[in-house]
Amino acid sequence: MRTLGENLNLFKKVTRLSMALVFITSSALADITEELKDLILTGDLNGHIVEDNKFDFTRGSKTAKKVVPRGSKGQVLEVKQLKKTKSFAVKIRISSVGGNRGRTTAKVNDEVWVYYSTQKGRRPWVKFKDEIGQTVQDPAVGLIAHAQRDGDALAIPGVVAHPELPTVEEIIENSEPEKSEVTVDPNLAKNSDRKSTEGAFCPTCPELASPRTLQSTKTEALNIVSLTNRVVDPNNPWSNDPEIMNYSNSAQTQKMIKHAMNNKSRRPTGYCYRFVKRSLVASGVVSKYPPGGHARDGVKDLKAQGMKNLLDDPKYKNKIKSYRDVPKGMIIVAHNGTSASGDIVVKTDWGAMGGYVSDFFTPNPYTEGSPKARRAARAGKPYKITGVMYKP
Amino acid sequence: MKHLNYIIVVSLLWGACFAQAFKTSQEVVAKLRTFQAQSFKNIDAKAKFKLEDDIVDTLVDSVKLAVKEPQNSELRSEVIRVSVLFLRHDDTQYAGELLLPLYEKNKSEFKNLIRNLPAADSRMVLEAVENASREASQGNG
Repeated sequence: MRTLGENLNLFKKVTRLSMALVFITSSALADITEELKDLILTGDLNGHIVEDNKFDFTRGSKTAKKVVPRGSKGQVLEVKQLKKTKSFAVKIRISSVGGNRGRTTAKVNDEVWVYYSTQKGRRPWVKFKDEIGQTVQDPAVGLIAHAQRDGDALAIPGVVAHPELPTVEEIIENSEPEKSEVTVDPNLAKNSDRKSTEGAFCPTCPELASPRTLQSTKTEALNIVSLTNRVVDPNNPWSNDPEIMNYSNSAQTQKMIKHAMNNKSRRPTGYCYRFVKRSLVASGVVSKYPPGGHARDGVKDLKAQGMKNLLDDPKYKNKIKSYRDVPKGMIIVAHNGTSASGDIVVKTDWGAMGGYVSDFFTPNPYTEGSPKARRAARAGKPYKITGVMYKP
Repeated sequence: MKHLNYIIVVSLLWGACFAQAFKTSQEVVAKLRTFQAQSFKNIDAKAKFKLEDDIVDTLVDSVKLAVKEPQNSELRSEVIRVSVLFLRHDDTQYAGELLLPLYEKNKSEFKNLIRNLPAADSRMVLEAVENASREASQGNG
């Protein structure tokens, strides 16, 4: 007969064991890449029978042999990325034919190529399921991986054998040229002050400082940290944090902000994460193009590139209550825990002086300035800052 | 008798809640008509945010109704007019996302709906809706 104590010990052991099992299983699942297994058509697509290794997905293509109707399911056999459009050709084996079967000659077990468009403004009309039956959120990554694997098997003209995410060189090549500083030729510059003579006017000279008093000298002395020669701004709460100041004032961070400001578009494009990724890569803050498809993945993706989340440190977590508290040059990731993609921006300056740039520039923090974020807050699902990323 | 009274009160409250939630198209159109270009003039940031929130809530209701009532051209044209107004003043172009159900329902009809707008407005609406559609299906990365 077991005593109560023995029973409790046994219960504790079982609990610990099951907790360990749950932890191991969840860790293992977290590492599974987005493997594409099955595909579901969300629209009627042409099924192409490709002969002589020539892909033609244009309108009226002769390779389009049968319509694969909406709702059809298939198994992914092979993937190729098309050089010109960067979209994908996906070979499938049809496992079930959906929609109105009378309108199609497609049959179960037919092997056809379908077109997966990644072009802006075009829906691919295809959804992918992974090995555990869940919808793949960012099929492009899985498609590229699949295409890389299939590339060696068949070298097809017009098809990239080893498609890759954009490189640093490609991003720099496609970036807007840096705008040069506006300089004024001193000979052409005009004196706008009617009271002073031309001899007293110098467009490139700094303003004459007011005579130094004992008080101003003391203030200057306080503002200068003698060893590092770093100017301490009494209004900047981050002034005494060398790690943060080094990142925010580094040449790379300045370059990233400049790149983001130079390359932003006039209106939002729905590609905030893409624009931030490009600025990070072009400035050299990260060495590889991060693969994620949603801004909410920014924390995970950027950590994988050696960046750190300031919010992981309890010392900083209490210091950052809103977008305005975030130091200059940091990447802010916000999400509300739903299936929405989330938001990611670069802070352009210190405190309230700073704006927020990604695919467009806004002086307002996302949580306040965005009607979408305000609506989510009213619905009880407010956007919260999930990451303040920087390179240590 | 006490229980019966209780049931009647609860049913009346329940009915009242639904009556409040389901707005008629006339009510929605009347509300949409209150949003004019002048509404955005001479207002501070706080008032602008409040006005934007009001427009968002009204547009959500009206787009739902417009999807249900495809024949209601008055409602549809008001939805588009207010969306254009909102897009002009909203940096984030959120109206694109709000119009998405209408666009997804019938794209060619939606394009017909914005055909009569000035070219720049028509382009702005279509761009916002297409971006929202693409972001919803493929993300923003």
